[in-house]
Amino acid sequence: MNSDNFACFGDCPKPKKSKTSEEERVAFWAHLPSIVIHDIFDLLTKKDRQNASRVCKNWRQNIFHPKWWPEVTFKIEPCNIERSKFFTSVFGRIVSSAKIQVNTLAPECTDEFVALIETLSENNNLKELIIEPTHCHFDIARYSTKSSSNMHNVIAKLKRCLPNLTKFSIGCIEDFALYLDEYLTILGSQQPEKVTLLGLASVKDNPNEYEDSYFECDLIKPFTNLKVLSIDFDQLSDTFLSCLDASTHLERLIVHLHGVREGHPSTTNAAWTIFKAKHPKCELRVNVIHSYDEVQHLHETILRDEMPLTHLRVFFCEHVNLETLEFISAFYNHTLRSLVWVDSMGNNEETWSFLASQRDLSPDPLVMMSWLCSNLSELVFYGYKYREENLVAIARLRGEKLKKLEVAEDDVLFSNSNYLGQENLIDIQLHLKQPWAPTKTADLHPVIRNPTAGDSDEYLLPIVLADLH
Amino acid sequence: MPNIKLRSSDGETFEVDVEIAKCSVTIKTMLEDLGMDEEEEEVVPLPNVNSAILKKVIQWSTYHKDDPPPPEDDENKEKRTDDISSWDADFLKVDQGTLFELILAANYLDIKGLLDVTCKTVANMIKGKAPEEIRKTFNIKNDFTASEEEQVRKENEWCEEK
Repeated sequence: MNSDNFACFGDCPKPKKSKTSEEERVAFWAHLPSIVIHDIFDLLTKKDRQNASRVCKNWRQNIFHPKWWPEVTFKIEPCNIERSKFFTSVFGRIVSSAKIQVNTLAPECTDEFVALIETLSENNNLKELIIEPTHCHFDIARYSTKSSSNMHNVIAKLKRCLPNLTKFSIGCIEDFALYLDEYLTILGSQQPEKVTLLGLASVKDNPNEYEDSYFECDLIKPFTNLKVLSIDFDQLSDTFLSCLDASTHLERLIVHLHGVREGHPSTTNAAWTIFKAKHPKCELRVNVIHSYDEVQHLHETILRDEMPLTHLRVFFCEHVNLETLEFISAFYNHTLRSLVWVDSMGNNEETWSFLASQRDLSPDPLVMMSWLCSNLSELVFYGYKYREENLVAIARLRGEKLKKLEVAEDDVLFSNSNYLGQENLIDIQLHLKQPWAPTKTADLHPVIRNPTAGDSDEYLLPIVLADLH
Repeated sequence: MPNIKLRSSDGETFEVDVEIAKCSVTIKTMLEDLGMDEEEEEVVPLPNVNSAILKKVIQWSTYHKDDPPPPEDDENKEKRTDDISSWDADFLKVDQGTLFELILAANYLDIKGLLDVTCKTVANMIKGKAPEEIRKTFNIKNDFTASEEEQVRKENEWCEEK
């Protein structure tokens, strides 16, 4: 060995060693005890640690320590199953916060998901389990290639993941929502006061026909430190709201509406008044999903004027309810922050609702909303023809407080020509104080462009799943 | 101050102040557990530390004997490595073999302050370097096969992905 290669500190004397002992020393750093490698790695940034872990096998063995991988996103996609398997094998047993993004339509992904849940069920570090599927429909038995992967086995494994969790979301998976009472019983019997987030809402494949996922209201009582809770409308009632009385830290209640069961008690203004007094900081987000019937009477049967409504999103209900929009402006003008009303583009009578002749005399409901709702910062509406001059009015009324304004170029009706007037466009940008243009057809989600071009889950799930964060 | 005697692996005996020897949690525990009487002329054997290293360790402990106890590690705090005192920096101007053995001795004797500062010195030698540069710095042989190395590179890339 050339002594020049022997790295030395400052002007220290070169070690006088025999050749044999120098050769022995060549390898010594590779044989640092694990505990010391850990201490050294702990002083490095993630990037330096990654580089150091590529130096030799012994150093490599020390890289997958729970401390440096507290949060891991497991992405289970058909294009990279090898990666998923690697993540499951190295992080499944050590991670404390697991987010699982899974393509629920690919058999190889289903298998990997089941394998991951099994590994996580043996992980005592696990504190957070957030599932984010591509579709709400997750037919494990149908898509798995393994005979043991039936729903019953998967739910049994999922339940074993629960005991120490502080955050848990079923990711709106319809089949997972059938066992809510069992999840809550397990979580409630361990340390319910540590639970801060429960994502129990679902998205139904068919809003007119689905299995009940209702749980006993009392089961929610022990979770006194809940901050974020999502449930289906089927679960919501005055009794349920009163069961949340002790959860004084509640910041966000999210409700998914699909259909309304016969005999559903709905809620009363009195209950919401009490709710607001108990949870003065709690916001309410309502997501209306494929509710073809309920959308007709949202403001009559679902919405209550005492609700602390901050977000209303209506997805693919094939109807825009102008009276509901007027109701919102009248009753939620201090709370409403976001309105999203999305349908696929088409050309039927519904598409022209904003311009129907009988409406010509009354003010446009979205312009009124922009005028009255002083906290409105997000307005997204797709699938309905809308006048250019009203967009200008919205921009002028909301100004830079409107952070997001989305409308499809194909939906805009131009006053003078067949394109948005340059002056109007500049006017809108000037008032919003940001670059702005209507969404081009090519940039629209395929399922908005054409209802048969995709699954609406692919558009709406990322939006409703983000509600939990 | 009473003294005790420490014997290195190669048989040399060092007489040190008990309070200095107790910088080492290992020695401190040994004295307490064995009920070694400070009056007695007992010798503490340290079979894992040779005389050259033990001499350095005693030198370090003597200088740092009045240091306040090191603070508990804050798990969430980014750890600094640029806060090595100039005395320690001078003290650690040694060849790599000595540095390596100092780390092992600090680990074995459980002297947190010395382990911290030696690990920081090593961490500083790793920082900003590519794997091959790190190997060169420490004379570490690459014991991965080409395909293993490719696998490790790929795994690291996956871990980087958001």
